[in-house]
Formats: sequence, structure tokens, C-alpha cells
Amino acid sequence: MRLAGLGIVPGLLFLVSGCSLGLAASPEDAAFFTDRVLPILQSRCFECHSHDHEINGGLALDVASGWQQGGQSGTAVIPGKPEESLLIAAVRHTKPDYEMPPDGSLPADEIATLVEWVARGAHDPRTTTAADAWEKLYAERLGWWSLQPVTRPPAPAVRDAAWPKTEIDRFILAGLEAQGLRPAAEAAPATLARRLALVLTGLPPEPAIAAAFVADPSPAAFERLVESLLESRHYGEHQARHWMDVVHYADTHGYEWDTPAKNAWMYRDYLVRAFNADLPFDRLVVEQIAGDLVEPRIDPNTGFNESIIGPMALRMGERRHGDSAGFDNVTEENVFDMIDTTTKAFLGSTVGCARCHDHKLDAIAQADYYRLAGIFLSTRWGVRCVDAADPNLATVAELRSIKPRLVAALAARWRADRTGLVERLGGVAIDPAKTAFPETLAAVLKLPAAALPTAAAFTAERLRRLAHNREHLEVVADFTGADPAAQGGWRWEGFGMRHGLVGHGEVVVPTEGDAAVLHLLPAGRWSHALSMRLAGAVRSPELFSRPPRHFSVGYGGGMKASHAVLVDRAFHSERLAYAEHAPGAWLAVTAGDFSRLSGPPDTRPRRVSLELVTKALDNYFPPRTNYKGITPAEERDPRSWFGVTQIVEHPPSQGPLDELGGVAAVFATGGLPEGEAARPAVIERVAECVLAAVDRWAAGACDAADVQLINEAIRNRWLTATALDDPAVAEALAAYRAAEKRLVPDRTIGSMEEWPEGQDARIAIRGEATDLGDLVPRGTIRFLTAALEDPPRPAPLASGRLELARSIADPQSPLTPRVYVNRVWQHLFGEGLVRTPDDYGHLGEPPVHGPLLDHLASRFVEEGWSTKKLVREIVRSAAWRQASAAKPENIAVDPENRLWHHHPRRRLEAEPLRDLLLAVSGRLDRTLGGPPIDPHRPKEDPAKRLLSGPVDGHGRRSIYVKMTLMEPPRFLAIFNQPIPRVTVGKRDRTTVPDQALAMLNDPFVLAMAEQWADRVAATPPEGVPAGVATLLAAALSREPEPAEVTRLVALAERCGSARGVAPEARASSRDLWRDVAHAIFLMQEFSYVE
Amino acid sequence: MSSERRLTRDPRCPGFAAAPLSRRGLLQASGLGFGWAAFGSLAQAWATPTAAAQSAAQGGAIPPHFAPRAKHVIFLFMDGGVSHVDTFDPKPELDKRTGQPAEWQADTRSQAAGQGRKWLGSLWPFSKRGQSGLWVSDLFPHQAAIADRLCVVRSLTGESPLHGAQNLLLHTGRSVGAAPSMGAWISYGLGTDNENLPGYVLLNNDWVPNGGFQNFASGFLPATCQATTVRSKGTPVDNILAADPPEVQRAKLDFLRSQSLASAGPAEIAAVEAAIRTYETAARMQTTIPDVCDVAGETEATRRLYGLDRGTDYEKFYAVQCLRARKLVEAGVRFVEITCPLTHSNNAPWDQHGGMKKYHAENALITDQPVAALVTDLAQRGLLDETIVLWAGEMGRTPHSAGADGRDHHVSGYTIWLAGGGFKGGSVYGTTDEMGMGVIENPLDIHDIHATVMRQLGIDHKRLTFRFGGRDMRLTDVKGRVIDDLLA
Repeated sequence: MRLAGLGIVPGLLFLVSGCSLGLAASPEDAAFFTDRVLPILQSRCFECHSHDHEINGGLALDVASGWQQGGQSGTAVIPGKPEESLLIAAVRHTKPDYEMPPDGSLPADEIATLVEWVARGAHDPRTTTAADAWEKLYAERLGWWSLQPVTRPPAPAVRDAAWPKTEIDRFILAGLEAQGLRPAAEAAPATLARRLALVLTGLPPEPAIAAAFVADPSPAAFERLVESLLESRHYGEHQARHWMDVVHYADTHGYEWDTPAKNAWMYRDYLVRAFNADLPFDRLVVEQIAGDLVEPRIDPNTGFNESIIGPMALRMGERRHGDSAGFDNVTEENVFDMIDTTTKAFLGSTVGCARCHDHKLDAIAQADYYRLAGIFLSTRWGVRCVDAADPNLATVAELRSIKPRLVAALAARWRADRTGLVERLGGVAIDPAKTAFPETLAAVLKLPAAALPTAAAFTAERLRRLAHNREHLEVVADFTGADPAAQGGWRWEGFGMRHGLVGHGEVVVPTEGDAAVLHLLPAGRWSHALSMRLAGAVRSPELFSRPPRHFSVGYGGGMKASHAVLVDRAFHSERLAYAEHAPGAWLAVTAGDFSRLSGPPDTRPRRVSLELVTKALDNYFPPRTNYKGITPAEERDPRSWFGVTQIVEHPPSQGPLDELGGVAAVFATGGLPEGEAARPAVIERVAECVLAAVDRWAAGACDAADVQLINEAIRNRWLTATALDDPAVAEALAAYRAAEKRLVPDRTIGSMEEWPEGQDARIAIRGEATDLGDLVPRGTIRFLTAALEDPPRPAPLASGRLELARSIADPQSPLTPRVYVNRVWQHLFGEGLVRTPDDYGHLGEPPVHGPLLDHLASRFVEEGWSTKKLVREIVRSAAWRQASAAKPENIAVDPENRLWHHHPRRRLEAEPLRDLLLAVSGRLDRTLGGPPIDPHRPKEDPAKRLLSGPVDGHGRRSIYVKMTLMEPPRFLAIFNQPIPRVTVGKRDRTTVPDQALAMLNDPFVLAMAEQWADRVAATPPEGVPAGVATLLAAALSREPEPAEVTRLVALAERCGSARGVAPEARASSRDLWRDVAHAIFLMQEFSYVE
Repeated sequence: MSSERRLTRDPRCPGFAAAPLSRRGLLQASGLGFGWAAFGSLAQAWATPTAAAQSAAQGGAIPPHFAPRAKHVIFLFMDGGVSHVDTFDPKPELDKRTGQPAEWQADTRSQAAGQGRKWLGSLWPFSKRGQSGLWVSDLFPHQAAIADRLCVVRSLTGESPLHGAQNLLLHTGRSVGAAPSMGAWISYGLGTDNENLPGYVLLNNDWVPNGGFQNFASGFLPATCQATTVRSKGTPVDNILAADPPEVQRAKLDFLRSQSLASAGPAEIAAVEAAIRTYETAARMQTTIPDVCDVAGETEATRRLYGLDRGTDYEKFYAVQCLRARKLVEAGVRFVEITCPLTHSNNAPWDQHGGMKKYHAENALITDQPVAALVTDLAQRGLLDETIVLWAGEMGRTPHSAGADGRDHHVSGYTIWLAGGGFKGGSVYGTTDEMGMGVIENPLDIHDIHATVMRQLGIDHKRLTFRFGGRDMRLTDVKGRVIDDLLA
């Protein structure tokens, strides 16, 4: 019933049900309801208003509490008052927009019965509640086939014992025999070689390997061919591409500016490595959901912690900038995508459907959705470092060993230049307008003599400030030492931070320019203590921000290091600033209280955390183009730096005061000389103080005040040192810079992070993020935990993500192995055993060969979740090796080939089609991995970073073409590469004119024909027929038939004549070979798996 | 081609109507050109055939849900947000209070209310136009001249004042995600009258709007329902110009035919023939599409009407696209959309946070005359009755400002208009408050417009569904009402 309009008034509900209970019910009333009213409700209303079906408009009529509570439009029935009851108005069709049932009126007698029921007090003896109703349904739904434990059915007996090669074949043959069908003959060897290569690697077979296979009829030859393809590094690329559909891989996040997905390509390469290494699938599951939470898996070649790359899988998709405190729903949409992808990808389950209501058909309650939402809302979506081992230890030691030389040389140089120092200090002119209390040396020098404080006044001011700071500041995190306990739950990450713990006076060396010192650091953790190319992050724990909390961070940072306030797990926070601060500054940050935008206020504050990061660990770097004036050059520059000393909390407007450390020495002994004439003495005093600080620094005994003072002198160029000034400085500087260049910067990727701050989520009523209901304990989907003997249980403050991952990867999960085995079958066979690979619920299709699916799934788990074993088992089968030509009599019985009476013939997917064109034309670059190549575009849009690359993508495989979510690669899209916004387990397969136009006229196809023609014409064949035969064989990986050669020669002759190429010149004509190559591309067989 | 209509039963929110088409019939029918778009993946989406579906698959027609009033839609997408209070929604009280501090109850659907904001009256004067006395400002003199044909809706509301979200909402009925565009839905539901032309054509002006190509995509509908992009400049459609001389291409197509048929087994022959037909269709499109895009043969009067020879490239090409829209509709295309060009560095063409006087005027100069010309031309040719013209952006602009010449994002009440196709000309529906901040009467959201447009095309928006991800999806999600008051 669509009852639009008013929302429920909670107060009324109580009254209504109270009313109902207030009227005494007789047995006659109960019988009246059961015998007369209930049948009407059942037959007329339940289809749209019951837990079994729909609860439209929020109104359920299958439980008494349903009509008592009413729906979105308010109370449905007022007992005793039919004229005021919406239900009655609806069935009478007297209220516009409330006509029920919508497709016609009830018979008058039924209306009369309902009226009488209400008039008599609407007695409803049903005692089941909505929860009971759900429990009953849930129990029924739990009986669905895909939720039953995976069994190990024995392979059935077959009549033709000679045909089966594997157990798979006995399942298949039994099915065929039951229908009186015979399988197809085995495909020809050349066909098998091409099919195997295309299906396993996405590339055509190497000609020599195919020829050897055709020449050797022994069974071992087949096994050898399969093994060589499984060992090919291109196997992993092709399998990875299939999985990328499932996680909807893209290199960008779309929306308004197509913001980059942080180094997503590293995840793509991780998949390639994982499939090539045959990583057990259960481990791949765990890594993609919770790779940051498991013991690292280290790749021996790269030294990467592979596991931490995995969670990029769930970050894919459209991601808005901003946060839910700026616009409703920003984070909730991300969470929806993560839940939808996780449950479809691994479980073939549509938990996403339960965002707004209990699932209509499957054993999934709305609460299940919010159990998962609690997990993902308790997860942080940060950028993480990938390197498990530190490749820089030797270089770091070398850099550290150089620094003392540089310090000594600098100190010597500065001491020796005392005259210069005094002269430069003298150059600071007195500013008669200055009266403020001096906090810097420059301020002291600028003050007119009369305004200089006396020693006593200075001391008084200093004590006042110290007292203020003592009174108001509370240190919440101290980064001046190595003790994690002092860090108050704040965390750091990155090589920069790992090597960045310094005491007072650490010198920072610029990597370019003349200056030998950038500045000195106060004690703390600084990402650039060794190099600005190393990464750093400092992140706060969750800050309970009601009322707002005020912090000051002892900070310094630059080169687009950012600090951001993350609200409600914002993905691309724009409460972010890139500020240039000298070391020692105080950075004020407020963890504000962000109330809800609409709907009633939540009783809990939003989650707020702070994040300080260099570019490499910044989730939002590069941000949307030109955001806050960031230039392309700044995007490319790998340098970025910041550091922290201490983080203090204080009342509003009571932040830290400068403690005058930088000038204290000047006033220390009896104040400054008075009077105009004393200025030279003031300058002398300042110089003395500076040099004394330098002495302490060189001796390794400086303090924060010395650092402040020397930094001021460096900043004002009172102390200068360049390589030009001094050979010792020059030597140390050159040595340092040479070593610094050898540092390997951190490899980073968008991933996830766990903090002990798990919180349950509230149900969003009807999916509206602004209309919140009860808290739901976070955890795994109920039907999954129900299937496990010993479901993992999270620690109290854990998100539960690891336990979710482990539950999904549990050998007892009824769905995980079935869903994955079916995906693999589908990739090898073109169709799955279950033809709805992402939906194993009631809207999916149960498999015809359920026992075979279970047989494979159970073996898959028992044999270690090995994809390669599974692939090997399937392609070895006689079923897979059948020819693709179907027998008409089989088609007549089983037109959809659900019994597998032939191998399905199918067009290549977009990527192998493009790769095949590259391979056959000789343009293929077989390099693996690396940053993506921009696709070719007719029109660029630099503002959205939609840039154009070469027509042939540098010959790289399609998997390396940049998947820009906003405008995906055109050529691939034409051939049904899905727009990567949602899980796609099964691609569309259309045959449409766009594709024909692309094959006829697309610049890429033409370029490949050209490329091939160039190669042919470079060493012309002996006559057109010979050349044609060679090309055909190369394109189809088989010997052409004479008739085919004849047809293609005829084509060549027609094209040659049309283009005016003389007959004797044809065999060496580039134009002619381009036409021949192009015509071969158009052949059906070329782009099909036979 | 009536047989490709596939209107399924009542979706019941996300309900689950039975499957309409059998896989077998679909496979046999596939590959016949744009009109047959849906079949390949419908086959994948639906398993259990019903009697009605089987009859459809066997060539029987499923009638439209209602008697259709119109056959085509032309959507003039005013990307970035035209200011409602400067065009079709006059606010004398706002004008009066220009410069005064803007104090108003905060609404998350309107950007930046509050601190330092001042009311900003209309930058262009309004007058009553035509017989109907419809108010149109001087920004749009040409649209003012066709006021009696416009059905102006002043009470549109959106979800959040963000371009990406609102663009997707306007196009797909969802503010996020991967839903199909309304053009895709309509093309899916009604197919095309011309198998050499796509059902949904995007006349683009070199611009990817916020939200990306998803705005024009088929989403979970079959890929052929997505927009075919026709560029304003240069070659109108990718790959449409034959790379080979005709006799060479013919030789290749003949080779393709003879080779494919020779190698096909008896069970494959139908699919092979279908694939060959696809190539033949493509070959024909190489002439039909450039022909329909070619405006050289138009009369001088028509050229002048649209302003084909106006000053800048922006003006000329927008006019060309409007003229092409008429030609495409004449040729049987179901849904045509035209985007605005971006003339300056900005997030979207009409997105004037500042510089309204310059850029709103510039956008008006580019679009106003061709838009009015299109309506007039359709009417003169008797096509307006069967063509719905929808003029809409994704948002309006704030009646207040931080400056003298800019307005921010605003979806708590804004204006669009419709013309033709049975919509009531010279009428106004819905009312915003005296300042143009929010709707006080007859609020609508875009689903209502979608539902009403579909109604005029003979489609019940609740019954045109496609099963995806366990739900029967529809353009209007779980919303949408047909607004009879908009209809003549």
C-alpha cells in the first residue's frame, strides 16, 4: 500500500495499541478475525504488506503489531472508528493516492467485513510479532540449497566408461546419458592449443608450442601444454583481469573530478603475482578484506608485504570528496559499495538488498547489513606502506655517518665567520614603530632601545607564559622519545618516521640548491630527518569530540604535506590543509562536534580523527585537479615533509604561548645595555648568543631554545653556509646528496587500518542515513556464522573485519568455495555451472549440475584452495576438450547447453581481443606491471585528468590501460568491458554495430593492420597465396584450408585491383597486406574462442 | 519494431516480476541492430519464461502500458545549474531586499546559507510573455517568445547540492552508483523506429559532465541502450567514417560473409548470420549517420532560425546540435540529449559562483536561440505533439550570495520546463517562497518528472523494470508520481 505523506508519530503508536488492548475481546471476536478478516488480508494485502513479501509503505498486516504501529503514512486502524481508519479509507478508495488494492476495488462484502472488524474494536488474536515472523522466515530460508554444507557427492556411474577422462566427466556424461545425448567429439589439436592459450593466458599460443603440440598425439603433450601455460607469467595477468571485474577495479574514483585511486595499479600487479604464485584462494579472501590485520606475506622479489595491498579491493568504485558532516550519506555510500562487493564477490549473496529492509527472499535480515556496516564503519580507509623489509638500512647508516662531518664543518664555518655574523645582524634596522614584546632575535634587534624589556621584565613575562602553559596544556602525545606509551594512542607510519626520531639539533640537508642546511630540528619525529622523499604519517586515535576538543601540534611541514580532520571515516576529506610551517610552530586543530545535517540529532558524536601525512601517505593526494592551488609540478614532485614534537590539548583560545626560549639567552645575564649608544653591544650580545648556541650544537648538547635561535639565524641568513663557501662543507654535502639519491622511497597504496575503536552501527530506517533506528552488534552475516562450527569472535574493541574475513574464508562456508569454483568454471567454459555467478539466492539460478559443483568445491577446499589445481582438473576433462560445434539433435533437447554437450563457442572478451590484435600484428609488449597507460581519447579533459595516450597503448596488454571511472577506455568499452562501478561476475555479451564499426574503422584496429602489413612487406612472401596462408596460420594458430586461402586470395585480388596495385607488385604491397590483415581481423574465427 | 518492447509486470518496490523472455528466442533474435539491443543480456538476466514473454520472443507485441501521447524525448541538459530566480521564477521580494543580510532557516539542500551572505535580486528583469503571461526574464528572449509552449515547473527539489550527485539523480534517478540513464531506459523500453540508428543519442559539445559518462550509460541494462555520442565538431561519431574505399570495404564484407558461413556448423548458422547482419548494418550506418548529422541541406530560413551562422564556434555548434536533434527525431531516434559546451575554466557550464553576468549571459547567448528554434521548428513540422522537450539542469542557484555576481548550489527549489508531447504550454506548476529558497506548494522531485515523461510515452514507470542484483530495478527507484496537472 503506497501511503505517502505523513511520517509516523511515535507517541500515537502507544495510544493506539493501548486502545486496542483496552477493549475486551470475546472468543467470537477472535473467530471473526480468524475466519473472516484474516483470509481477506491474506489474499488481498499480504502480497505487498507482509514479512513474506513486501512491507510497502512500512505497513505489515501479517502481524497484529504491524497495523497497530501503522506505516509511513501513520496509523492504519483506529479500533472502533472505521471512518477515521486509513485502512478503511484505502479499501473504499475514498482518499486520493491511498486506493488499495491499487489494481481494483475489493468486493463490497469484503469491505463490509473489514469495516465491521474495525467497528467491533479491531480484535486481532495473533500473537506472533514481527521478530517471530522474521525468525520463522529465516529458518525456512536457511534451507535454501546454497546455504547447505558443501558435500562430496560420488561421481555417478556412466554407461560409456571410455569417454570420461576425469571425475568431472562422469557427472557430465551421466547428465547427457540421462537425456539420451552424446557429447561432442574432442576438438582438433590446433583448436585445443589456441583455446587453452586464450583461456588460460588471454594470448594466442606461441606458434612453436602450438606446432609441437599438434605434432605430438600423446596424452603427455596435452599435460605439458597445460603446465607451460599455467607457468606462463601471462596466466596471472589474465586471471587477475577476471577478478578485477568482480572487485570493479578502476584506477580512479570518478564523480566530479575523477580523483586517482591511490596507486591502485599496485593492487592490480599484486593480483597478477598472486594468481601466478597460485596463492591459496582462502588467503586471497582474507587479504582482500583484512590484509592489514594478518601476518605479512612477503614477496621475495619486491620485498612487499603483499597482504596489506589486498584491501584496495574494497576501496574501488565511485568515491565522493567531502564527508557526511558536509553532505548526507557520503560515507554510507562507500560502506554500501563495500558490503555489496564483499558479499557478492565472495558469497554470491545480495546483502546490499537488505540496506532498506529485510531481504525479500533470502535469509538476510536488515540487521545483517548493519552488522557489516558496523565493521566497515569501524575501519579506517587510509594509505599504507607496502614495504615489509626496509631497503634503505645501509643508506640510512651512511647518511647518518655523514651528518656529524657536516655539522662540524658548518659549526667551524660559522665560528670562523663571526665578523660576517655581526655585520649581518647590524644590518637589521631599528623599527621605531615596534613595541611588542620581543619573541625573536629579529624583534630584539628591531626594537627601539626604550622599548627593550629589562631583565626583570623579561623574566616576569617568561614566567607568566610558562605558568600559562603549565596550567592549560596537557600533553596527550609525546613524540620526542621512542616510547610508544608516551604517544597516547597516536600512531606513526612510513620510512621517514621510522628513521625520523631525532634529538634537538638534527640537521636537515636540502637535496638541491646551494644552501648546505635547511634548518635544525627540535626533538621529535620528522619524516624528512634524512630525506624529503621518505614518507610519514601521524594519526590520532578516535577523538570523542563532543564538546569540541582543541589541540596544538608541535609541528613543522611543507611541500604539500597535509593535515586533515577526518569525520565519519571520510574517504577524501576536504577538511584538509597544506600549510608551510617551520619546525617548532604550533598547529592548532579542533576536533569539532559535527551534528547531523538532517533528521533528529544522533545521541553519539560523529567519529573524528586527525591525520598528518606526507604526499605518499595522503589518501587524497593528488586531490582533485588544482585543489587548493596544487600544480601538476607539485603533484609529480616526490618530496613532502612534516614532523611532530608533542601534541597538547587545551581549552579553547588557551593554546600554547611562546616560552621565549629563542631570546632567553639574550636577556639572561642582567638584561640588555640601555640607550642608543648601546646598540653595538646589543648586536654583540645577540652574536654571542648565536655562537654559543652553535657551540653547544656542535658539541651535541643543544636544547630546544638553541634550535630555535639557530634556525632564526639560518632563516634570516645571518648564518650562511653553502658548498661554495667551504670545502669541508662542500665535501660533506656532496657525499650526503649522493647517498640520499640512493634511498628508495616508500611504496604506498590505499588500504585499510584497524584501531581499537569498534562501534556498532545503527539501522538506517528504510536505508535513510538520517533516520536511525536501533544499534546492531557488528559482526558477520548470520547465515554464515550459523554454518560454522566455531565462528571467530572479535575482541571487544576490534572492528570485526578480520573475523568477517576468516568466516568467509572458512572451509565450512557453504558459499565461498561454491562461488569461486563456479567463477573459475565460467572463465574456462564461457558459462558457469551456476549462471548467476553473483547471486546464489532465490533470485539466482540453481545449478543443473549441483553435485558436480559440490564435488569441485569440496575438492578445492581439501586440496588447499589452489586455483591452478582446479584449472588443471577442469581443462583436462573430456567435457572441456569437446569441440565447439554443436549437434542439432543436442541443441533440440538442450538449447542452452546446460548439460555441456559441446564446448561453448564465444567471442573473446574485450581485453584478450585487443591483446590478440597486438600479438598477431607483432606490436605486443610483454612487460608485466607498472603504472597504467592512458587510453587513447578523441578529446582530452585535463581538468578531470582525462588524458589521452597512444592509439596502441605502447603495445602493452589491456590490463595496463588506465581504467578511468569517469570515462573508461573506449575501445574496450565497445566490446563490453563493464564500467567498473559495481561487481560484475558475468559480462554482457552483445553483438552490435558499434563493434562492427570499431573492427572496420577504429584507429587502433587499422594501426594493427598497418603494423602487421609493415612486417609482411618488409620481407615479401613468394606470391600472394603463400603470404595469405602464412598470415592466416599466424592469426588462427592453425593450418588454413585451401578454400580459405582461395577466398582470401580473392579478397586480396579485389582489394589490389580496387587500389590500383599492379598484379606483379601485390606480394610486396604494403597496402595489399594491410587489407589482408584487416580482413583477417574481421573473420569471426579470429575473435572467437572455438 | 514493436516486438522488442519488454515491459515487465509490477515491480513492487524492489519486487520481483516474473521473467518475460525466453533465452532461446532471444538468442535467435540477437544481433539485429540497435533496436534489438536488450536481448543478449536479457537472456542472462531472466531464467523462467512466462507465457507473455514467450509470445514476445516469438515476435508478438507487448502493448505499451498506456496509449502513448509522444514518441520521442529531447533533453536539453543545462549542466551546472541555471539560476531559477534569474530566469523563470521572478521574486519581487528578493529584488527588494537585495543587499540585506540573508537570514533563512538552514537547509542542507542549499549551499552556504548563513554568515556574510546577502540577498541578491534577479540580475535580469522579468516580463510577462505571450498570451499566457508566463514570466520569463530578459536573459532568455527567445524562450520568452515561445512562452506559450512552455510548461514551467518551479518546484523541483533534489537531494544534495552537489553537481555529481544531482547530475546522476537527474539522469539515472540515483545520486550515486551505476544506474542506467533515463535515455537508456526509454531506449530499452521502446526501442527505436530506425534500426540503422541508435535509440539514445547524446549530442555532445566536447564535455564530460560531473558524474562522468555514467550519466549517459546503460548501467545494468544492455550495453546497446547507452548513448551513442555525436560530437559537435569534426567526425560526428567515432569510427563512423569508412576507412576503406567502398569497393575495398565491400570486398572485405563479402569475404567475411563467405568465410563465416563456410565454417559455421548447422547449429551456429543463425548466430553467424546475425553477426554478419551487424556488419551490414554498420556499413549502412556509415552513410545514414553522417547524413542525418549533416545540416548542409537545410534551408536558409532554418539556418537563420537556429542561428547556425552566429558568431562563435560555441554558438554555431550548439545550434548545429539542436538542429540535428530535430533530424534525429524525424529519423526515429527515441531519446536525444544535448549538453552545453564549457566556454571557460569551470566545473560545469552554468556553475557561476561568480561572474554570472558574464557567463550566464554567454551560456544564454549560446543556447537560448537554438533551444527556442528547436521547439518552434518541431511545432512547424507537426513533430512537437509527439516530442517531449525537457529543459533542465541538475540544480538552481542560491537567491543569496557572498558577492554581487555569483550564486551557489541550490536544490531545495528550482525550475525546469517541458514542452510538447502533451505537456501544458504556457503554464506554471509549483511555487517557491517569496525569496526563492524553498518550495511551498506542489514540491516535485525528478522521479516525478521521469514518471510523467514516461507516462506520455506510454510507459508505466512502475512496470518498466529490469532485474539486477536481486531486484527489479526501475528508473524511478521506489519513487515517482505521474503529475497530471502538467498535462494538457
